[in-house]
Amino acid sequence: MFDVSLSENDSVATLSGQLTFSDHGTFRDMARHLVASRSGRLVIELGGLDFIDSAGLGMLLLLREEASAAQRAVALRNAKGQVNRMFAVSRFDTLFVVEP
Amino acid sequence: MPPTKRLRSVSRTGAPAIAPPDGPVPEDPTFETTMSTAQAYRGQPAKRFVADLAQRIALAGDLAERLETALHEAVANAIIHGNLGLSSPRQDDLDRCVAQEAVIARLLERPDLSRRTVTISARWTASEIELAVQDEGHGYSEPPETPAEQGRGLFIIRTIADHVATGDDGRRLAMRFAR
Repeated sequence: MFDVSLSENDSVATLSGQLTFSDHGTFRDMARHLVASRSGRLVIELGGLDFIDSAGLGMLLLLREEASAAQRAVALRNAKGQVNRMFAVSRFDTLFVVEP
Repeated sequence: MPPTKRLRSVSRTGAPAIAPPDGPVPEDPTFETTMSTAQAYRGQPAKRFVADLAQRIALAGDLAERLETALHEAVANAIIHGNLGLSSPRQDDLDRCVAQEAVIARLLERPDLSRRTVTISARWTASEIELAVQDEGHGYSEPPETPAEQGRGLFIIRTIADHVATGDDGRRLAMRFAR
C-alpha cells in the first residue's frame, strides 16, 4: 500500500490502491517513518491511489498534525479522480500544499 | 419516488438478478443485497454494489464514483456505529485510530455482532436513484445535529448526495442522486 523513499530534498511516501477505515495501522507506520526521516518536506505521492474515504482523509489530517509538531510541511502530490474530488469536498487545498 | 412495495429481485451474492440492460425494463425497478457485518467489513461492498448496479442502469459522468463514495461511507457507519454499536471516537491521533480498529476486530469476533446484517438497496426512476443502507444495530433516538457529531463520513454523504434521509430510528440511511 505504501513505499517510502528519501532524497536530499524530500521524503516521499507513495500510496497506492485504497486508503480507508481499515488502513489505520499501516498508515500510522508509514507516517511515523516519514516524520522521523531527516530530509526536507514530506511529500505524499498519490498518483496510484484509486479511492479514499473519510477515514483516509482523517489520516492525512493527523499526519499533517504530527508533521507540524516536527516543523515539517506536508505536500499532497498528483491526486487523481475520486481522491482529487474528495480533497476538493474537504477543502484540502486550504490545509495542505496540493501539487499536480 | 413511491415507497418500495415489493422487491423485484434480490441478490444475496451480488450476482446479476434481474433483466440485463438490453432486456425489458421492469417497472419500479429495485436491486438489493444483504451481507453479514463481517463480510461488509472485509469486502468492498460499495464498489461491488455500484458495479452490479452499472450492469442494470446507465451511470453517466461521475455518478458511479459519487454513488460508490457515499455508499462506502454509509456502509462504514452501518458497520461501526450501527451493528457494532461503537460511538464516534475522538480521532485526534493515529494511535487512538489504530486502537479503535483493534476494538472493531475484537467485536467482529463476536458471532452475535458479526452476523448482524447490512442490507444495501437501490431503486430508481428515469430521473433519480435512491440508495439505502439498513443495519441491525440499536439505532438512535435523536439524530446527531452538529457536524462534529455527524462525523466526517456523514458530511461527505451530505455533500455529494442530492438528498439524505434517516429512518428506522437511525438504522436506515437513504441517499438520493439525480440521474
